[in-house]
Amino acid sequence: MTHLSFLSLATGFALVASKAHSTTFTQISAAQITGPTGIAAFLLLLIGFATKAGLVPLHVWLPRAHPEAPSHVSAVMSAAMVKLGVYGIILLVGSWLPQVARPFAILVLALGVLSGAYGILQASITSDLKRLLAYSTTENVGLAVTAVGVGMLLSNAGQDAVATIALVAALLLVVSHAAFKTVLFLGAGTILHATGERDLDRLGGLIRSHPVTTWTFGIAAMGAAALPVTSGFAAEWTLLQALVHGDGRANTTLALALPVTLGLMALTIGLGLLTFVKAFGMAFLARPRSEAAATPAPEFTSKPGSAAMGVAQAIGALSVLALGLAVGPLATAFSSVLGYSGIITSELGGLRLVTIGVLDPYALGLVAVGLAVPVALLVLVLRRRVPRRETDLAWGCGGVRTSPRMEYTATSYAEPLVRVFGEALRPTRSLEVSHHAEDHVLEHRVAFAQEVSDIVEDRWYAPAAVWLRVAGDQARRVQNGSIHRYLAFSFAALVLVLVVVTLP
Amino acid sequence: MNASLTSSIVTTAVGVLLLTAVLQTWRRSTAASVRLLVVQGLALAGLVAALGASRGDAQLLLVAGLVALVKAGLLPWALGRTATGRLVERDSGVRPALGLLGAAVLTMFAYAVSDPLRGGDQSAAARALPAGVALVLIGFWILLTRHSAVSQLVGFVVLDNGIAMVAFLTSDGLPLTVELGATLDVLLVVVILRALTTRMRDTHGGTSVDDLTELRD
Amino acid sequence: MIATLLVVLQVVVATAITPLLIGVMRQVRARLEGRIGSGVLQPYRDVRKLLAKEPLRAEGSSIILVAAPLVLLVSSLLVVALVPLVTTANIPAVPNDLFVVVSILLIGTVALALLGLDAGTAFGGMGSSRHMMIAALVEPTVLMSVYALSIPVGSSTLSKIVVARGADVTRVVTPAGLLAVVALVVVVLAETGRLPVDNPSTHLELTMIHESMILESAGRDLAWLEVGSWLRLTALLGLVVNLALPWGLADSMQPLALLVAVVTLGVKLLVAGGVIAAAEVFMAKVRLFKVPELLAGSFVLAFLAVTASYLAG
Repeated sequence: MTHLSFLSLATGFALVASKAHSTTFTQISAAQITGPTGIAAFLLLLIGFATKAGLVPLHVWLPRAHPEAPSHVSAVMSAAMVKLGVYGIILLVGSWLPQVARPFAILVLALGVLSGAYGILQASITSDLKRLLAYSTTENVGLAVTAVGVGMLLSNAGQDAVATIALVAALLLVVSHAAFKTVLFLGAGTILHATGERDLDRLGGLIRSHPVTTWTFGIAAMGAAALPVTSGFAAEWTLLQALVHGDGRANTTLALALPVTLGLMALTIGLGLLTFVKAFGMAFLARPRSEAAATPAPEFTSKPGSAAMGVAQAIGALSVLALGLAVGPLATAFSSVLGYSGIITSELGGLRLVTIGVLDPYALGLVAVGLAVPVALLVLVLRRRVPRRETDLAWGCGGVRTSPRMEYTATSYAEPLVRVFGEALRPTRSLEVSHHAEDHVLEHRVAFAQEVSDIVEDRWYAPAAVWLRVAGDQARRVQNGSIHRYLAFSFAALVLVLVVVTLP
Repeated sequence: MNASLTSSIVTTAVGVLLLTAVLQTWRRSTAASVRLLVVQGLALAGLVAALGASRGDAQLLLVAGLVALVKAGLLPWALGRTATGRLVERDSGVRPALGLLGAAVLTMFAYAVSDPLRGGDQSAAARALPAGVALVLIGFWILLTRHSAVSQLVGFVVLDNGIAMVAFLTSDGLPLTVELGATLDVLLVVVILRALTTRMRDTHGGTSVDDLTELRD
Repeated sequence: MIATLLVVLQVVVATAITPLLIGVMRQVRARLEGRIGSGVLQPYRDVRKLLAKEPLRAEGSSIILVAAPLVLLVSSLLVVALVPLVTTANIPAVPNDLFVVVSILLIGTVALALLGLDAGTAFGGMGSSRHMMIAALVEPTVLMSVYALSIPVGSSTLSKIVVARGADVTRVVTPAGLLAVVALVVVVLAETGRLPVDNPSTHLELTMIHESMILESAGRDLAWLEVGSWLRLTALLGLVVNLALPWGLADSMQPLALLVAVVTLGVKLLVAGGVIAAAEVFMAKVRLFKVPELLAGSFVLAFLAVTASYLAG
């Protein structure tokens, strides 16, 4: 996929540079390229950057590559590397080929919305923690590209102010994702080091032995699920405001596209909540589901340098909160870069979209604290009068004296979703029942297996790989082993290029 | 340095380069080919030095010195080392006549394609561009028509000389770092391949690349 | 300052009236089912009893058991403070933007789900899983109805929407407005765990959703959980009735206006609650895997509301 995307990008850039007679970005945007070359270049560059960003259907490398890397490298890959794809798309539609990009706004929007919904759907049903985080990266990049697409649609309709808000929302989404995804991957790495497991079905109970990881992971998961007062919430609020304030009364495209986008985005948000409740709850809460999770290595002392991991996680979690509380200055900085003065900082550091609305996380937090004070006083009074009693077993309707195997696992947590979205996921299930030899009614053993794989990969990439292999086998006949034939190929290629380039 | 002196030095150097390249396709003795490489390297260095002096670019003069050192000194030395104390090798490639004919056709082709490549630049340097392209194509031709490993290396070096020549003639000169990097790359390749050639000769008694027929899956 | 006082008053009134609302709903249902019922003041007695009982903590549970009920309660109080129930004023720096309200509701949802998982029992996990699935599937309807209601007003701030609807009767009875309100009713039923989505009075293991998450809590933990859930019902039901009948809300500190506001809120809430309770008697709980169809239906209604608002002008 890397090479395919590089090929696509190189060809696209070659087309652009040939028209603009230069390779600097300023000259490319000044060249105002249009026409068939422009369209071809736009599509090639879009495909290249979409692959780099991990958008559906070019995302299949992400859930395979990110889990296999060491966790801190995965953090860099998810938090920073895929953002270059988003950066490329923003430059492409905003600066290099804006005229060509106009009719493709729906395409960009569709790519983003599809990536968001499909990414989080796959994330919500997988039980491999790192694969969950990788699919969540696809979802977040999809949301950022959705914001870009919405901005394109709105500016096509002439509503430039709201379009800029959408673009600022895209930038906020990118920044907030970098913050929380780093912490999530580092936390996954800590879990992996401590227990040797990254399968959520086998984890559990780490809140007791790994308090720092638990709370940093929890804050980052809140950011990923876009709960107040984290950076993820502020970014999604901005995007929602841009969606809601696009005026579809005069424009049929907007009237149809904006509600559909809002609906799918809402589904993405909802599934994101489920995904991160599952990830946090399964890994850290309840009782350990396997031997490895029951005896974890102590936090941050097992290897040299793991204390640095704890510091990194803490810094990341603090930045998730800080970016959420200080969203006003951040968004103001972004909008001033884009040359739009309608986004300012409110009195307490919140975000004010002029004539649209205000989001003030700081004030919200203060109100919450104010409401919590009488509750806290009541709790303090009651604690003295009626102290808490420790028991050794939960009640569980009387059935808890069994092993931790009776707990819900990540797979069972997501099972209702697999049923509801069965058409989109196409799980394969196998059920084998073996009976006793003596009595064919009594069951001796039941084995159930369920597998959900990426259907984009199954439906599109597997056949394509088969065809490529067939073509490769055919091409192998050209290799007769002689070095002279290979050199002759290179020579012929050089001559051909010279002829083509100098054709009148 | 006035323009006419520069122009005549450039023209002379270009002529020498082209001549040596054509002679490479004719001479079958590897020792002679290596001696021709020395001359080619010196001519290339002279070309770069003339361009540098006419533009007053000190960096180009440095590059010229580098070119002289490596292409006229180190590379031929590395290639020719085994020629001492051993039999002079004769190459069993295609007949000299066919080689010369091919070189001539390629030179004409180079002149045909160089016009659009020049982009309308009429300076002496730009008008010498066809020779550079010809050098590239002739280097490739040597690679295709020779069978001895040492001759293949000679062809590779000629190819590299041609590329360097085109680069110097069409641009304002490559930065020192780029030239250094590229030259060291070529030097490294030649040294390694030379060691391999010695090994080949010891094992197989000859270095004909026709023996390599298993280069495939 | 005045706005802050009004909001504080709103929180106090809502908290006081909530157990009465629950009591009325239970009493209506009891009477219709032919039982005597325990009286409309029973929830107050229940809370008092729970506060006096010992809370427990099982081995293997964590601080989530203590913290999640409090988070639910505080988030519910915050929602009550933001939603226009008694007053349309809001604290100046914290406008009651509907997306913010929805997100704070989701904090409570997440706290409950984590509580269910923390117990480490099969029931807790089951309830948590179903609860989050319903929350995920109801999210599109929520946001779409918000969108539908905000289009005519041009803002997603709740107080502005209610004031605009109150000022102009024609806005209230448009098809788009009606569709949006109907969709919101389904949302309220799903979010607060009422029939046909979840039976609030069941303890049959396989039908519990909300109940199974709070199975392990006792004493004051359970009190916070119960009151928190009741407050969510008050807030959401109050929002729906104030959107449907946006009259009577106070925007100043005049005693008469306040009295009218409190009384109208009480009447609207109790009547709506009674209607819901009566309808529950005649409804059966929908099977879990039919709930997505119900939610999809409400989503379609909300979507139609949006397109109707756009295309009708």
